[in-house]
Amino acid sequence: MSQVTVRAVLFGDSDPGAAVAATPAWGTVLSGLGGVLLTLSPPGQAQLVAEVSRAIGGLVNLDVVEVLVGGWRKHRALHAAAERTKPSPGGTEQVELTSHQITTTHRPYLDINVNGKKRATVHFDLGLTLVVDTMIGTVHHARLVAVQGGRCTVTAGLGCEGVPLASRQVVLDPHLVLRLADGIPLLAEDRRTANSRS
Amino acid sequence: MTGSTARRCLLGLVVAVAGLVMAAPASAAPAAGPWNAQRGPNDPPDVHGLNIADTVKVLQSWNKGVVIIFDPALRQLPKGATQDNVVASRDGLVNQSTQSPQEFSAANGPRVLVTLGELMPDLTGLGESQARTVLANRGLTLDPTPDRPPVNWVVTGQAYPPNSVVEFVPVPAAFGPPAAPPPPPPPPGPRVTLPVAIAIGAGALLLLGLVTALVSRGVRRSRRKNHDKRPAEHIEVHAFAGQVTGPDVFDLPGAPPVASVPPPREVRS
Repeated sequence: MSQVTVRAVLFGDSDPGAAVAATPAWGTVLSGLGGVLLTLSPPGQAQLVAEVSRAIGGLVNLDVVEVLVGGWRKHRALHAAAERTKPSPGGTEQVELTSHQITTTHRPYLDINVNGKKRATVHFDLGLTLVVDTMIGTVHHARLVAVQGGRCTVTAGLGCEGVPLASRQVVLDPHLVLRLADGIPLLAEDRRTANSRS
Repeated sequence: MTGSTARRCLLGLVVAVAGLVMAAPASAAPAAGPWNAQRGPNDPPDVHGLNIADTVKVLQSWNKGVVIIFDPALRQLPKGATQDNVVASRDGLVNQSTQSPQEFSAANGPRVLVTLGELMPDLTGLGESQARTVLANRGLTLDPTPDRPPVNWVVTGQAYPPNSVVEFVPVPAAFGPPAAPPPPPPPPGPRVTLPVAIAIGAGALLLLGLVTALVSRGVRRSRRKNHDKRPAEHIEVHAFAGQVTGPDVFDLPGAPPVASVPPPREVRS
């Protein structure tokens, strides 16, 4: 699977830290850090702000395609097809999926240590919603080997301490972002085997 | 060569050729020297360039009975030309039967035809109207090239050089755009003697060294200042994945039921 990250969805080629720091809501984040910032020297304050904005870039590296596939693995129709086709190596089913939605929420956080002592925690909310149009998935031997249709509208949002920082929506074509090759294992045990092989 | 210069050269050539062609019948002025050489012992003396009084004096000293015929007649001089400003262009013996506009003397001596003219003024740099006025003051007319020069053009060449004798024929003159004024000469630099130059050089070297020292000192200070900008605190920011919910999948409201071949069994993950 090719990687499409939430970072790319939200910020494109821009630096996430710089993009977030340019938003009006960034002031709210800094005010939340006020208690810590006031105890720091001016160079220390500058370093803390730079470190936080840099860390935000690492928080948004969530892979959108991985979330999409993770959702499909939970889809009862695909899961059932995987169960049915697993016993027979030549077993193949085509499953029509109606429009469906895949959601995930991540709540990463940053711990701020000053001189080895934890001084603050900054909480973030990273929400991802994928609306997938009607599609036909081909399941072969418990693996998703082909997809027809399934245009995917991705909505990503990033917030900090309840304050929205960034939000953006893009449309993905599964045919362009999915690298099916030998197929995507749909059952948990198969995934573990595939992961151990890789 | 610029286009303007080329145009001027061409005009000058045209004027020169035109001047030669037009002056050919009245080329007494430039041919005065050779005429003298060809004069016979009985020919009258050359009076080229002399005024009326001197012409009469010279010719009468040559032959007291001389009959002097002026062309044009002194009473029929062109407007602007007077007996005070006309000069003799050429002279020569004529036959007795020649019709004479005016006989200076009734004596039966030799008859000499004196062709009159004017001293050519310097027209260079004058506009067309100015050139016409200057020429008209001497009974002369202008033959400009081009025929109707633009108002701001000036005379850049004339067929007859200044102070040459020109007879009463149209005077060719070339016009062109006025030349740009030459750039002012650069101001003379101060004269510096060798000891002064050495002193200046030494001073410059000293100044250069001083500036170098100041700059390097500034750089050192800047580095030290940047070094001082490092925070006194040791700051670390650690990122954690935190709580993850999902991915969860939902069929959207209004979507038709899932179809499968063969019909799927209900399985929940």
